[in-house]
Formats: sequence, C-alpha cells, structure tokens
Amino acid sequence: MVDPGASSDEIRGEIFDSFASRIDEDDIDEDIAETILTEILADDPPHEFSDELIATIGDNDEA
Amino acid sequence: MKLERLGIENFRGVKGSYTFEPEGNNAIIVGPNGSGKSSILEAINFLLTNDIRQLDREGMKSVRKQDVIPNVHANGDCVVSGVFTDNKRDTRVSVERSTDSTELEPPEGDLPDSLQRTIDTALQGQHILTRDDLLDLIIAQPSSRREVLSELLDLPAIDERRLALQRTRKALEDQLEKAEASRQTATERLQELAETEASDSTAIRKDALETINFLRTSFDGVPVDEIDSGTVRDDIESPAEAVSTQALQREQPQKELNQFAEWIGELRADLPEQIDQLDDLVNKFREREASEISASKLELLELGEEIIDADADVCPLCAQDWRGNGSLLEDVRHRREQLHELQQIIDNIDQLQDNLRKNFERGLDYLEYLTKVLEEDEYPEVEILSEFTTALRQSTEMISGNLLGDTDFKPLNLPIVESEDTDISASIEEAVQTTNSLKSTAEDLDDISDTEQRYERLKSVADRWEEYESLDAKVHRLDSLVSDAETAESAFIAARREVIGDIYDDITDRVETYYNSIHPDESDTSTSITVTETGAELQKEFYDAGEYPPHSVFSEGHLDSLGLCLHLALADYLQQDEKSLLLLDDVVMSVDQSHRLEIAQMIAKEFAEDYQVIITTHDELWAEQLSSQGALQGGPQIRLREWSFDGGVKESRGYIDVYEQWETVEEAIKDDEMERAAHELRYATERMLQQCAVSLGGKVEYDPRLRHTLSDFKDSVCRRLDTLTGRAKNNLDQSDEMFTEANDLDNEYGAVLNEVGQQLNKVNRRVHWTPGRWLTLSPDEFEEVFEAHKAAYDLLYCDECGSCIRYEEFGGDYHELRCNCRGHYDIQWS
Repeated sequence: MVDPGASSDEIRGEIFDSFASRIDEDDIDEDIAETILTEILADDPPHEFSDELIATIGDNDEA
Repeated sequence: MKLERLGIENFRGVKGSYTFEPEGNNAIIVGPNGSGKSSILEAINFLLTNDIRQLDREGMKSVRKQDVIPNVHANGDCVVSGVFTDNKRDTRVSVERSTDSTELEPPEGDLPDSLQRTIDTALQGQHILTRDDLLDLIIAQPSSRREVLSELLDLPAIDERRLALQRTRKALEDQLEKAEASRQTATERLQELAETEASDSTAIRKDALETINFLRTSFDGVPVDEIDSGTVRDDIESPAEAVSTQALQREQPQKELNQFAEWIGELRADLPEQIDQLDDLVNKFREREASEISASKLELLELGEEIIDADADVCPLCAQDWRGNGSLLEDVRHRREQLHELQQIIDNIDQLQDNLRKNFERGLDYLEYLTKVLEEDEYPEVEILSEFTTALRQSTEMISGNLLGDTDFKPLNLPIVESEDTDISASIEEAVQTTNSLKSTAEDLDDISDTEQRYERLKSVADRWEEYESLDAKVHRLDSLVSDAETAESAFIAARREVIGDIYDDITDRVETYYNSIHPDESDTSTSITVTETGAELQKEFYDAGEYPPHSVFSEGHLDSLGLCLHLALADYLQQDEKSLLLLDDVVMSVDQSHRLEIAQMIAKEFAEDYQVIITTHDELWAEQLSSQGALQGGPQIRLREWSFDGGVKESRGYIDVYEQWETVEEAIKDDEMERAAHELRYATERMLQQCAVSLGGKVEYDPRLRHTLSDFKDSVCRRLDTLTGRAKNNLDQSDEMFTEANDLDNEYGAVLNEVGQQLNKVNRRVHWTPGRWLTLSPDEFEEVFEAHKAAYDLLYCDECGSCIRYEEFGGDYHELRCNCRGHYDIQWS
C-alpha cells in the first residue's frame, strides 16, 4: 500500500508491481506475458501492441 | 511554506495597492459581499498558478486573462507579490507575478523545493475551495470523478496504459473475427469440393483425405496419409499426358475453334454488305472531290451564311458583284449543304474502316492461335487456315491505310473478297468449310474435360485443406492471444483497483472522520469511493437505508459539508509532504449555525496547526465560531468594508484581540487618557463577552438590525454558564475534582460578571455624551472599573493558551467545558 501523499511515480510503481505479480500468477503464455509486461511498463508505452503480440506467436510457431 | 505577506496591485477588485499580512498564520477575512475577500484569495491563487478559478468554469474559454484579471479602472500594472517562509522561518522567499508575463519572478526553477511543492499542490487546484467548487466531486458522474481524481493523483499515464491494453485486446478481437470469417469461407469451399457437411477440423480433414484418395485412385494412383498440395498429384499423369496429345481434345483449343467458327460465320454474313457500303461511300467521296467541293471550305461557307443578307448582291469576301442565278445567300447555303453531305460520307467511311479493321484483327488472333496449336497434329485444314490467315492479314493492312488518299484502293480488291461478285467470297467460304471440318474432328475425339476437372479438383482439395488448416491454426492462436490479453487487462484493472482503491479508502477514511465530527448523529454511517469499470463511485450511507450517491438523499447543507470534507481529505492526502495553504472561500453558506460550529471545531482540530488556513466569509458569527474554536491559532481577523470602484478594498476596525486590547487600555491609562481608556475598555469587554457567548453556545436574543449590545452578550454568558455548570455538577461526583472546578466557576461567574455590569455603569455615564457636557473619569475611579473587567477576563480566559472557556458536546452524551489547552478549565461529564 502506498503512503499518503505518495508521488505519482510511487503509485505507478505499486500498480506495476501488483500487475506484474498477477501476470506471473495467471496462466498466460510466458512469451506473451513478457511482451505485455515490456510494452506496458515501457517509459513511452505504445498506442497498442497487438502486432508485437502476434509477432511473438509467430516466433513461437517458427520455433 | 506559509504566506507571510501578500502585496496586491490593481488586481481584480483591488484598485491601487492592498497588503494582506497573515505573517504565516491562519487568517479569516470577514466582509460583506463584494468587499474584495475573494480577490485576496484569488490573488494568492494567481501568484501560485498564474490563473484564477473563475476562468476554469464553463463558458470562460473565450474570456482572456489579461482582460479580467487586472483591475478595470486602474492605470498601473497588475502585480501580485508574496513573501513565503518555511515552518521554522529559516527560509524566506519573495516571489512576484504580473499579468504582463506568464513567468513567476524569480523563475520556478530557482525556488526552494518546499515552495515548489506548494506551487505544485496549487496547480492541482487543491489549495483553494470555493462555493462553486464545493459539490463538483459530489455530483460528478463516476467517469468525470475518476478523471478528476486521476488528475489529482497525476495518474493519466496509468489510464493510458490500461487503454493501450484495451485497444490491444480489441484489435486482437477484430483480427480474430476476420480470421474466423475467412476460416468459414474456406470451410464452405472445402465442404463443396470434398462433398461433406462436416464442420470440425478432424472430420473435415478425414473427408478431404477420402476425397483426395478417391480421386488419386481414379488416376491409378496410390492412397496417401497426408494432405500436401505439393505432392498430392505425384505419381499421377495429367489428363493431357494420360489420354491424348491431340490439341482438339483439350478445352482451350476447342474453345478457340468454336469462337473462330462463330466469327467466320458472322464475317461471311456481314462482309458483303459492309464491302458494298464502303465501295459506295468511296465512290461518292471521289465524285464530290472531283467536283472540287473541298471540305476545307465548309467553315468559310458556314461563316458566309451567317453574315450574308438574303438580298445581298455583293460577296462580302471578294467584294465582287453576284451574278449567279438565285440569291447569293441561297447559293452559299446550297454549297454549304453539299459540303455537309461530303463530311458525313467521310465520317461514315472512317467508321466502317475502323470496324472492319478491328474485326479482321480479332479473326487474326483466333487464326494465329489455332494454326500454331494445331500445327503439331498435322491436320490438313491447317494449310487452308494458314492461307486464309495470309489473306486476312493483307486485307487488314490494306483496310488500315489511308483509303481516301489512295485513289487505287477498291474494297472489292481486298484479298479476302477476291471477287467482283461480292455475294460470294471463295476464301471465306473455304475457311468456313475448313472450320466446320475441324469442329467435326474435335467432336469425334474423346472428351477429356471431366478427367481434367477431376485432376484439377485433386489439387484444389489439397490447396483448400491447407488454406483451411492455416486459418484454423490462426484462429486458435488469436483466440488464445485474445484470452491472454483479456487476462492481462483484467490483471491491470485489478492491480490499479487495488492500489487506487487503497488510496480512495485512505481518502474516504479521512472524509468519514471529518464528516462524522460535523454530524456526530451519523457517526455509524460510512462513506466510500469505489473504483469501478466506469469510474469512481461515491456512496454515502444514509442512516440505515443503505448507500446512495450523496446528492440523491442528502440536504444541501449536508452535501456542502460532505463536499468540504472531501476537498479537505484530498488536500490533506496530497499535501502530506508539504502542508501549506488551504484557502476556503465562503464555503459554509448552506450549513446551519450549529453545524458551522462543528466545522470550525473540525478545522481547528485537523488543519489549524499544520496548515495555513485562510478563510473568507461574510458571516460574522462563522468568523467568531472559527476564532473561538481555535481555527485561527492566533492568526488575524481582517474585516473589510463595502468595496467601491474608487476606493477598492478597505479594511474596517474589526477584529479585536481581547488580550492585546487590554494592553491598549493600559497604554491609555498610562497616558492619562481616561476617556480613550474607557472606550477601549468597552471594546475589550464587548469582544470578550461576545467570544464567550459564541464559545459556550449561548443564545442571544434575535435583533433584526443585528446590533447586539454588550448586555446581550453578558446575559447570554451568564445564562449559559448557569446551565452548563448546573449540568456538570448534576452529573459529576461531588468528590470529583471536576465537580469542584465546576462549582467554583458556578459560584464565581455571577459575582464577577455582576461587578462588570456595575462598573460599566460608571464608565457609561462618563463615556456617553450627556447634553451640555462630557463627564470625566479619574485614574482612581477607572482603576476599579479596569480591575472588575480584568477579573472577568481572568475568569473566562486561559493565561496559557489565550482561549476563552468553551463548551463541546459529543454525540449528545459526553460534554466538555474547557479552554483549548485544558490548563484553565477541564470539566468533563457524561
């Protein structure tokens, strides 16, 4: 839980930590989870990242 | 940081300059409507934010700052300056802002962190609350409320990330939908090819494989276990290879032959007439040319017909007299009509020539294909067709030339006509017979189209299966991806809800604390701000009837107090690191007197010490309540008079600090100015008793002119102390120290205040004007008066904290009679 008066960076950090741990616990494909976390937690998040996710699947298929 | 001094020049309602000096303390600014109270708060706001609240409201977009911030009647610059100090007064910073510049002076980058944080809080808008803003968060839609709260917590970037996840999920869903549609189309094609109604992947594959093996077997191939479009026709001869090498058995040559037969049939039927027409037209053209009618003269004749009068006898072109038969105009018209006819002939020749050329070229296309494809089969007809091809090609070349310029050209000389008798063309007739012969040959040969179809179908089934298999895999991948994206989005929403929910819980805990202290009868009810899909739901429990949006059940006064509590809770949450300014502009308009007292107590308890609270009001009683409950913490009360264009903001002699007032009286005594001392003494006493009446919750008889006298307040204090000490003694054990304290007060107040009344009579007789003369008062006489009043002050006020005795009630069953520090009085009973 964030302290009262926490900065927006602290609040964001808390939300991201909670999100990352939930993603870890959920039954999501590892590569997909990694892509989502990378994109979402980026400093400059993309408008959307469906192409990146599909590319991840493509990589899996090739593998 | 705290505001020491505010300098205002030509800002809003302030014409000229005005200085507000809270000296880092809390302050209350009292004055009637339009006296300039809000201008002072807005000046602080402008200094910190370069903005005023009025311009944030709806309909203000077209209003320019530079038009409404400077005082409209002032000539000088509009400038607001401030001096801020930190809590320990170690740091002192002066800043200034004018409407001529958007920058603060010095620039924000040069300011100490603490003032920067104060400015940041101000930029969030949580340092000031006005009457208009009070209900903004209460009655807002959940989505707007969430937006505002999100802005306050500086979390738009978080919302943007959630939206990115949502957009991603929707984009994937769109792609899944398209892939499913494509798979459905592929399924239907495959069902048709494999003659199956199966719809699931396994059954479709089974039926497709059965079809493939059936087709392979029909070509003497062996069955296969896998569907592979690249190998599905391996070890099978194509129909062309397997059945025949004759071109006329194949589909395309047959098709070309049939089309040629149709073409040559039409040529035989139409060409004679076309040749006749062309011949006739060419002859007519040559006749006209021979009569020297030149098409180039047509334009000249058309012009002449327009300008020549019916009776003209002189040619306007050559200026010679007309000597012909008939009129000049008729002659010109006749010649012009002849030329029109010639032009029509030329156009018809061009059209016919073009049609023939295109038709011949079409026939050449067929012939070139057929002679080439049939050549290997050594049909005797090919030679005849080749000869006809040569004749047709030559005819095409001739018909493509300049027919009108070639005087030797005759349509009947075209090689494919070859006869003066246009009804019969030997070469065409021969070509028709040859074509018919070839068609008979083709019909006699075996038809292999069915075999070709089966051969093609074999490949098509495999191709379609692979297309279906690829789309089916894509659908499953996208389906799984959409599911993962949904899970991630839910996880993000849950994470945000958890963290922001905790923040909202913290804020609502504060709201409940503040609100319940104002409305102790609702202390069991809860307040909640809940993060939902659509926004931030604000709910308030309404007694035992459940939770509702507050504005659906509460009165205006309750809503105002809830709005105030919510604002203060947000401000307190956001200013944890730097508790600085809280500006409250006339925020208790709809709250009744007793609840205002509770609000004053809440502000005194929760905010007065840590924050610099600056409050404006037009209500003298609310000002008194704030002061008596300790909300000012020794800060000043500024009283403003009616504002005017010419005078701007003016202070009146208003707030009197009782303690300081005694010093004023003593100075007057020392200066041997007894009349002045008497006047100041009356101020001190009136103020003292007024404060005590308010602090004790005493009632003063209503005066429609609102001109209460000192006696009104004294009587109120006496009645109230009589009631309260009586209640305290009735509810305390006589052995209790508090009982003794209450009893002493009960015994003492009557005599002390009575003496005040007696001594006042002496003063009154001397300070009030008596017709004919002023009475004087000797120092000895005044000493008794002064001592009586000082005794009352000592009885009612605490030496330690400077506050007067006050009464508080908690939920109706717990009571206190005490000073702020409990050093002078601390009587508690249930």
